Amino acid sequence: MASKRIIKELLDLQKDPPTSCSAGPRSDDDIFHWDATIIGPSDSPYQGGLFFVAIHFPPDYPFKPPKVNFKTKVYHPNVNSQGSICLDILKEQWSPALTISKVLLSICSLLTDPNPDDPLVPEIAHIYKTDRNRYNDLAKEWTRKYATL
Amino acid sequence: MSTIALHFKRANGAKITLEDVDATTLTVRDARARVAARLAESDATIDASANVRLIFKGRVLRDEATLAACGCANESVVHVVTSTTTTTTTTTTTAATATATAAATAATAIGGRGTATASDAPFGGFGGGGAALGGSGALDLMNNPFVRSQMEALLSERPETLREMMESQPGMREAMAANPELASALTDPETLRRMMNTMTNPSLMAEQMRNNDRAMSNIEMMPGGFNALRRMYTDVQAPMERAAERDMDAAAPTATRTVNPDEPLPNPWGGAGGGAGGGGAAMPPAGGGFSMGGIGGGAGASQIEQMAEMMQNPQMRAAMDSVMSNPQMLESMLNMHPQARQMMEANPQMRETLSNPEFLRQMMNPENLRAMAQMQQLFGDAMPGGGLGGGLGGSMFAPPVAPAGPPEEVYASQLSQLNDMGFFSQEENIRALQATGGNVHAAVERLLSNPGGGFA
Repeated sequence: MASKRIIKELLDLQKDPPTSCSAGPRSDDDIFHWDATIIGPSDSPYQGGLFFVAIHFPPDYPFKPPKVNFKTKVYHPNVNSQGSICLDILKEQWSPALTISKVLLSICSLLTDPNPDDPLVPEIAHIYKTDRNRYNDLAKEWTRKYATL
Repeated sequence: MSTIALHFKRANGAKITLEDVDATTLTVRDARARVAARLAESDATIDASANVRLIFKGRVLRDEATLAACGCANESVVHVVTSTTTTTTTTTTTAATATATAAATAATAIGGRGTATASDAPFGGFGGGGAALGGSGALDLMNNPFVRSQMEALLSERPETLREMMESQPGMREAMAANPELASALTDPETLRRMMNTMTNPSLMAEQMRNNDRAMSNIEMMPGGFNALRRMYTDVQAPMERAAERDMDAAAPTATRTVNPDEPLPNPWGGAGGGAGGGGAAMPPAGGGFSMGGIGGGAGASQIEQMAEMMQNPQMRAAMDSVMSNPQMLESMLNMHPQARQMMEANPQMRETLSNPEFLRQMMNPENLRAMAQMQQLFGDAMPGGGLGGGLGGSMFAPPVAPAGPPEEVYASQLSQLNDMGFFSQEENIRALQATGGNVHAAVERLLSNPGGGFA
């Protein structure tokens, strides 16, 4: 069940990938581990960055959400230093109707619009709320340092 | 070697196509040069020497590799990133589309919420456990992955909840106190899990039943065997039956059960031995008590089904939500209903559960209701006059609306969900949904096990 669905998603992604994300299995013999890239959204301080993401599908996918982690360091209120992402659709709001493509797009929009009210890194959320310019500068700096090829 | 066409997509949505690419010989470095040259033609901010990167399947392609080695096939779409930060002209349309899609995603997420939150309602799941021993129809229910996962979670993580549930039934508690062996069998998660596994496997179940019958007839043949059986019945099964019956009688005096000790079934066996089948034979009524209490006792299965439909009506939902979020109102509503009050006085725990708005909201989830309806039907089969005769649910929804319509409309949300998951055959989807009472998970399992269905 899980592998059928994953293969279907892979085919869909190859046929018509979203503009800002790319994803595929890490190796041909294990379709449960994927690599993905997210291109920093142009209207955010992450613009120009290329962010690597690791995706791990559980055996009961799509009934359980995939595990999605940033491999690239990101300065963001909802992403911690381990790359964990605080996103509702990866947890309690997961639905089997969601796909990896939708998840990646949601992460893109999370980059554009952080959610400081449900932060994973409270310090960054505080800066985001109180000193937006400083947040923008720091996020740009990190993007340049860690996410530029 | 024939040549292929490759599409290259930029972050701003612009797309170029390279025709006649020989992927087996063209290296990524050369492809980059060609793409950069093509981009430079159309975009003044990029010159042919710009640092263009190619991304495919989530990885940045290495210069030395050939495109074929990277897995590029005909009509593959490769992402292009220009890492010169001068590309400020990247249009905002990308962002707009991205946001729009994200909004759509959010909408889907909300639509799919039913399935996500369902796993928090262990009571329904437990009711199913009791019911599942009632008949073969229960197999479907137990095979329903989300009922199952609830049961699993309940068994493995919260054995004490189970115990509390057992003990909150006064009759059950008495029976358990009088028969310690029974108590240990009924509260041992391992036994219950074994029971559940047996139930989900039809052949195992049939085997077990056969073994039981054979063992019974063997015993009856032995001298004194019949008396032994009889004793077992009076010691084990009767107290449980009585206990369950008493609980039921409190709510529905018409509910009667006739059990003849001479009849080979229901099976009194495992109860004494702590085995799988036995505890269950007497359990359905008890389970019935739980689940009916849980849903606030709709008058019967059909009414619950109607309630489920009704709850899908967004207006009704909104109204309910507002009621739910006001615990006092709920409480007073419960108190107004004499039967409900009686039930709650007997079970302080149930009162707590019923006044928990979150729990009630989950109860109102159409999918949960459907699952309940299935259980109710099973109980209906097992016990004549099994319904609680218009409990709380009935009183809250006094004029039941009958929204019967074509399945396309009734299961509209489930159908679109199935469609999203890649099941495109409307006919089969409807069939699967009808067979599973509108449960998307179960329908998916059904579609996948059916060789004709599944992914096109």
